[in-house]
Amino acid sequence: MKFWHVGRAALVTLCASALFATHVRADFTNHPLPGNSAGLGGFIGSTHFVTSGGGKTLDVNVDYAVFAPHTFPRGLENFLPYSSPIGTFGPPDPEDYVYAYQIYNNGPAGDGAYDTLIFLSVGIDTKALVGSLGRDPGFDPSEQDIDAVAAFLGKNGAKYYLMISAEEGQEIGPQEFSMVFLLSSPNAPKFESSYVFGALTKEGFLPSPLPTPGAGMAGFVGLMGLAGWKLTRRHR
Amino acid sequence: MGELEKGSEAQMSKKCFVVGLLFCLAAVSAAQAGLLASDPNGMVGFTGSMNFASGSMSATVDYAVFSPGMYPNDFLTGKDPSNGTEYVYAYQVFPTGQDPITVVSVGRIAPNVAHNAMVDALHVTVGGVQPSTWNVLSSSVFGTFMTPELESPAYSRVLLFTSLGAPGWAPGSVGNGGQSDQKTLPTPIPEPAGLLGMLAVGYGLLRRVRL
Repeated sequence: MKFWHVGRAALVTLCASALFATHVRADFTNHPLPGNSAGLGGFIGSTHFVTSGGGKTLDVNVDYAVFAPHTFPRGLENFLPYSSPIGTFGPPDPEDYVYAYQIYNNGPAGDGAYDTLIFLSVGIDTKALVGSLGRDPGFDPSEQDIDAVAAFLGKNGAKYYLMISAEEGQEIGPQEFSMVFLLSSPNAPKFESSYVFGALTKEGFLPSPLPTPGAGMAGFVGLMGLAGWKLTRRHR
Repeated sequence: MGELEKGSEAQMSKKCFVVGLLFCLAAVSAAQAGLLASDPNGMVGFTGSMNFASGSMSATVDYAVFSPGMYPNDFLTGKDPSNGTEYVYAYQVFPTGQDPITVVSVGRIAPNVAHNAMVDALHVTVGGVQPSTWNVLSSSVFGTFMTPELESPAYSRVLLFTSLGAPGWAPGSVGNGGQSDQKTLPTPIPEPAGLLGMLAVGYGLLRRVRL
């Protein structure tokens, strides 16, 4: 008799969790970036980050798409810049490229052996120019997408922090996903080493602004000109 | 006599200069070597250094685990937030590459309890860079260096937390803009008492189902 009760309870629990899992999976399959027709050819897709250690597995995909100036499909009014004590950004320049990233934690729901994600770091060449860091809450129609608590632009990378302390933010657990994070830059894309970070960390390549060779060349020509002008003055 | 005094004064000032120079060199080398890695009060087997490197990013993390009551708590050479009642896990980050370090984390093994995450500017090396954040999260104890980023030759303050759990090893990571590396660092492992308790609860439930 008791076995029947236990069995019935287990069945109900199983059905409930299956329903919940189905509900999560419905939004989990949105993936609005990799197939986005407005994105730049060669810079729409997804990078898989997977690693194991200490009895845990980190299994994450970061979807990406880069949009040339004036082609961001949702309009720049939906680019909401981050504002926090560690980084406050202004609106993007209309002439900028828009870089979009979205994190998906592929681990099975409720499996403690799978790592939760704290932040995404997009490596950026120190000479590249970055205008703004933000997100678009409506790019993914899901209401379950998790926003970053803050964004930070360091010497050679941009970071989107999902969680900083137990009170600030929310980690991306298995079967959860982030909001679409954005970065604006006047520079066209290349692929740069980036990484995801939970208890474990894994590197992979994501689109990132490439410093314009023209700008470097112009700087070099300018310096040569300055040197020549000084030499001429000295000879006089 | 006067000349003799002048001579001895000159010798004294030379000695002072040499002693001062040696003191400065010792201080610099202490900061570079990281005394935490050889702290005599640290637990044997859980005191040392771990090197992290990827591309142009590299760093050494010194670590030491202190048994309850072994971490100084005199407010001159250290502050133990558990007041000597728990293990103290201490870490110090030394960037060794050209790129700055922006994040450091120590993995947690559930269901261990880690708390009292704080920064100690007194222990081993006075000063050091204050992290922007250093907090206990669900799967790791996580620190960031944003303002400022941690650049060589600077080093971090001693980052610590306390736990009732004795030490084991779990993944630990260091990262900067686009590069990160994962090795292992000391972390509390679940207490045997806690594990025994969980086993007892499981056994009890099993017996109830069987009855």
